[in-house]
Amino acid sequence: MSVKFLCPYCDQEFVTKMVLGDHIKSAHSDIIESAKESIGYTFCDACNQVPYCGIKVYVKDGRIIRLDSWENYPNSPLCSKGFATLQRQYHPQRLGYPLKRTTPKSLPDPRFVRISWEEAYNTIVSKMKEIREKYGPEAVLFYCGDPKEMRPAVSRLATVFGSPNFGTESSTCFRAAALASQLMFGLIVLGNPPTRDTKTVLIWGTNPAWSRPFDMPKLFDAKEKGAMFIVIDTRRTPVADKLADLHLQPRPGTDDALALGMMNVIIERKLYDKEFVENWTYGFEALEEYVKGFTPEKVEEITWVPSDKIVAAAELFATNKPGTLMAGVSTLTHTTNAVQTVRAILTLVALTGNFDIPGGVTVPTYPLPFRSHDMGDPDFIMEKKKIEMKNKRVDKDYFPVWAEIVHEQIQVNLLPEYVREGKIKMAILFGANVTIWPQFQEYQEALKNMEFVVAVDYFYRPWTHNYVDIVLPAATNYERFEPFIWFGRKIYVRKPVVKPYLEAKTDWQIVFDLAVRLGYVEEFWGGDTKKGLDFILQKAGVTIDEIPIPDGKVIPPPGPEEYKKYEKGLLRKDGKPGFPTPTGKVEIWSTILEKYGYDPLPVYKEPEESPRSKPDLAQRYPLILITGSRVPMYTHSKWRELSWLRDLMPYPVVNINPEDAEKRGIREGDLVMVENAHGKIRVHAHITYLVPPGVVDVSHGWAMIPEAHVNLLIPRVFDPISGFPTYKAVLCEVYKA
Amino acid sequence: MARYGFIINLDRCVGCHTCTLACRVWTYEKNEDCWNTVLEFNSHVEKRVIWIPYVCVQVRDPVCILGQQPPPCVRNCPSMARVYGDLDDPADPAGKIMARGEARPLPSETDKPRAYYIGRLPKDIEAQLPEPSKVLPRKYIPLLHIPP
Ligand code: SF4
Ligand code: SF4
Repeated sequence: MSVKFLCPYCDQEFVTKMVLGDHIKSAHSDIIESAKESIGYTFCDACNQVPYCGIKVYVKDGRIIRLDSWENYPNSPLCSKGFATLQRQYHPQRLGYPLKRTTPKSLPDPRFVRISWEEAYNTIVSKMKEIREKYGPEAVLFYCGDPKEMRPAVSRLATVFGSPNFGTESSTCFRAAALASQLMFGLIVLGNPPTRDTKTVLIWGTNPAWSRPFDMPKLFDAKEKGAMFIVIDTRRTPVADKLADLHLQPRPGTDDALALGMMNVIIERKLYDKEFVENWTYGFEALEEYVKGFTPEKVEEITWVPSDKIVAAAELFATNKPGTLMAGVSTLTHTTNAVQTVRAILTLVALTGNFDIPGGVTVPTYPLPFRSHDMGDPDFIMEKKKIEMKNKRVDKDYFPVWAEIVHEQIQVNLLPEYVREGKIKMAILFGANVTIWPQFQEYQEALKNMEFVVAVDYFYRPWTHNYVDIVLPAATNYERFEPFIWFGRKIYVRKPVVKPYLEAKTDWQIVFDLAVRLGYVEEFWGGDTKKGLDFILQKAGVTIDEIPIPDGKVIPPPGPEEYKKYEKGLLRKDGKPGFPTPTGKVEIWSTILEKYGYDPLPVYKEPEESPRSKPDLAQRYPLILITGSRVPMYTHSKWRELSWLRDLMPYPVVNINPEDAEKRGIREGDLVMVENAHGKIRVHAHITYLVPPGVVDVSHGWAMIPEAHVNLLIPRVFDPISGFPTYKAVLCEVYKA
Repeated sequence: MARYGFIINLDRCVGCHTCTLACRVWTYEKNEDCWNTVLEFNSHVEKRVIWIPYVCVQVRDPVCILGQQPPPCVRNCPSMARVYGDLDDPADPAGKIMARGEARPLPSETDKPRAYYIGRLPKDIEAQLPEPSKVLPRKYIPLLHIPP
């Protein structure tokens, strides 16, 4: 594509935008100077937090010139990635037009050409109808990667179209932890930051400093007020380093055993909350019997954590109450025992009686009637209809527990299988990256073998888009107003602060346009996304236009915040005391897992590949590899395009402890091979005390450097209950390249 | 005369690089380099990683737009690891910390330093700390694109 760059002030032509930029600065400085600066507000989509952080945007002459944190806004301040979205906004490689491939998918070069939106929409709509005719609507997969903002719209379209096969990247992040919690509590309870009342903070497998920096003020605050911190993390993260009174560093993939060891101490020493356990839990006796085998000494052997630290952590969490938990939803679940590991940790919360007390692990009394975990509202995504279509879910035979509990989305990790079995023939992908999966070549193959694939994105990303038929340009967070967000009972909205880049459109608009062309005029409000959002908001009794920017609007709660809601009948739909589980209790013994033939207790299982489960393999590959951990400047695979961030981390690394590096003659910055039973990759060595001896942490998300792709080292073995991959526990060796 | 400068708390810096990007965003429109950086070191004595922020005033005056508010690198630090103010005024939060007498400049600074550090600095790291002018600025990386 040859694009000319026209000066907006004098129509002179330029070959590059940089030269045009310089020209504007020198020739039109007067206009620029005199233009008025205005201020706008938007939500950040640089990471994948819900609810999103807020950005204050300074605009001059139709161009964003500066960013800051949105003041008096709950998630604050912004982080490095949020600031870098300014560079993304004006990146020369952003997608500006719909593209269509002109070669068959069997050929590696897609030769994309620019087409009109009309042609793109018509092609997609006729393909959707064709597939529906030939194979049924469920043969179309609807998928949302990152960010999450478009999920409700895409999910609604899937339902209206007749496909229950709507999936998201939560298939590798968050959803397994949420599922574990639903199995136990009937609710999604994964912990929360400390409040004024909190005396002990248990941070397990998460490093908010780099994943949720806006939590740091609360954490430092709690520390200053005297709260005790237990940090459980294999790595010496900045949070462990700066906050921990007790830092436990379990061998990757053995958090289940560690939690059971802590329970052993709590039960043996009778430190548990007898009242809560007796009245509100189910299966305690079986648990008591089971944890007898997990003495601190035995658990030290399994986890590498000194037994005295296990005892100290258990005692502190059980006695220095109230205590809260902050659990890593995509660290604890990246093993072959994902769901049970999270259940074991949540059991600690139940045993210690820290559930739903002030300063403990709480759930809101009067949440707004929207759901944050899928950014939506059950009626908007038509969840009832999804449940009716359950039999057409492609995951139901593989992951029956997921299919029973997780109504809003399917488990997509077996996409290659679904395609090979002829169940999925077409996919509509928003912000998808197929290299997030282990052995991603199989997923690329799956896209290739589908009859038709559409992708919507900000940038052309060859590792995914080389395998699709149509690529559509998405408008950024500065260019869209959908959706709204909420913190507790406060709703915030935004307005676009600049016009969309070239022909980019918002995700929501793309979905609504497609829906209208498919004939769903009424279901999609004639294509008016604002009316769609107002449909959701009516439950809170407001409309988009009634919510002021930047202040947001509080919807007053019907009553004061309550605690111990299980005693007051505030957790169940029928108003009875207890929990919304089959037994009405916190199910330490899960009757649902029992029904499907899984172990009903939160049991320990060695990772599929570990020094204990595969001692022979460990001879050859003595190091434990973890991957997927956050770095401060990127969110997973995002933003390698941005030089401001790339400046801080130019290439992928293997983080290796000085001791392990020295043994292998490896020095800082050396090119090294990381090899295991599944493949080998080449990355730079970064020598650091971040990781303990025996463990290496390899960067993920570097698809643009194919020889460094860590997912080549991860096998396709999955947690049997949730289908989660094992990014956090495989064996490897590292040597100089 | 007022002596404006930084106090940086090493017990709080978590190496998140927010300050660097905030500085980047507030200086690029002046075609300026980024005048903040955060260096990472291994302390072999304490077997831990430590992050040391470097700031503009170790080399020059702030370039970001300075109004009534604290500079962007300060107000956006999630750990409140840095304070900017008059180091010589005991009524100023920065001056108050100075008055306690624990804050110290980088070993390489001799003449009227304007950036001081508090918090634990492992002994073996002190010797590794580069001079500010060797690591600042992080060079200007142009924004390539202006919308048509
Ligand atoms: S923003 Fe604060 S915590 Fe983050 S690197 Fe800078 S000084 Fe350290
Ligand atoms: S005070 Fe200095 S380091 Fe901080 S943002 Fe301004 S120029 Fe950058």
